[in-house]
Amino acid sequence: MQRAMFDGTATAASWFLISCLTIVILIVDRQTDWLNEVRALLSFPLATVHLAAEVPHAIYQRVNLAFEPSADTEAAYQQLRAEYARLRAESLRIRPLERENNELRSLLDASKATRMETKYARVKDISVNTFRQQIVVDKGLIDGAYEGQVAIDETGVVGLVTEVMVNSAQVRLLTDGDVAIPLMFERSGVRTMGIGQGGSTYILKLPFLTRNSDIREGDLLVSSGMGGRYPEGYPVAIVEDISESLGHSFLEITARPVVELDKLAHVLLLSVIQGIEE
Amino acid sequence: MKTSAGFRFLDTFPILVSVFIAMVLVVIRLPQSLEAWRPDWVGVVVIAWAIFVPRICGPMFGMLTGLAVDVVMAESLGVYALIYTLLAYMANVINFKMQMSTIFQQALVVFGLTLIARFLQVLLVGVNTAIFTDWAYWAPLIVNMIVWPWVYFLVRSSKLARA
Repeated sequence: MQRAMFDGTATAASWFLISCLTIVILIVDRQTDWLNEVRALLSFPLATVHLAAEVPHAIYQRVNLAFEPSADTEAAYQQLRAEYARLRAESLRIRPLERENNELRSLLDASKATRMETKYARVKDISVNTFRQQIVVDKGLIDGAYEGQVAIDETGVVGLVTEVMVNSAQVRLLTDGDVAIPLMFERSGVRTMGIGQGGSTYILKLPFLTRNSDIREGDLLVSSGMGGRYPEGYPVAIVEDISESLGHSFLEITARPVVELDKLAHVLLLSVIQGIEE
Repeated sequence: MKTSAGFRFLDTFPILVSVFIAMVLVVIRLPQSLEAWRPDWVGVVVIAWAIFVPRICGPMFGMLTGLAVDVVMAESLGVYALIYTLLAYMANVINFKMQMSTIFQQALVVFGLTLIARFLQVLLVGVNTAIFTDWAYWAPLIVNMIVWPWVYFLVRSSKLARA
């Protein structure tokens, strides 16, 4: 008759206590990094969830491969693709560097060069829902991925690594509702911030520009390097729409990322080795 | 090994398996067009177990499940833990009524519980302006109702629920 004795009052207290405990955990995890080890520890057994979720897609790919050319051609192709993506990504920085170089040539100060190392990572999963826009890539702790790493592809910036697991990492896309990125207009040099809009749309808003700013539709936005999180000079987005409303001193500007975020197949994880004097 | 409630530890195996499967279904790859229609599988499973086996699946069960989901979804620790603690508790409280109700009435209750869970989630994850204009935000309310009967019959058919 245990079930009949169950009256709910006993659990009201336990629910209250457990909720309080959970809220404490929530606050501690948001405010400090004390629980990072706990999370890493938990992520070891829970990596099996992601592994199991991979199975249907892996089978699908295996079946697909059966109709493709032989395996070593495929491997060579993948290797070349990775190499190609890496080279394209490196060449992205050349244009702004050229301009910067021209400016610097008139000065005699030596410039600080930053060296980038890139790591090719395949996209394992894309999860875009009302709360989060993120992807899972196949490089994790054992491959040397770390939290705060910037992910790009051969066209521009993709996002930030927010969570590293054993053999995978979560990358928050730059259009996620919680992400902001310091930007610069390539043409005019105006600096601003891009705020991700989240939801099911892949757009950035630029809320801090006034009417007298020198901007046009179609302008390219590159990362400005402010704040030190995103390295300078990578293409981020293109201005899609500029509208002004009466009574607001700021323009309403929408920008579309240059990367096709819904069609990502691979990304490159950047590690910055900073402060190398040339 | 017997727990205080008189269950052997091994008996909880179906619970663990179902939660694991639910978590897999939460992260499994879906076409982008179907993404909005993904039910909150873990939430539905937590509700179902909390209704049928309240002695084992109380708030503590909700919290542990939620912590696992937090890690899997790369959310701040405690977000889903708090949501599922509340879901498990509410389901515990109404477990008698739920067991007496028809499947349709139950689905309506699941609608209500999901609504509360969604509001709590918005509160915890942070209110984004896009959420309230985006119809996808409300989709799980409907989808959870649709998947409820299947989860319900699976859970009810387990030995634990009949004990």
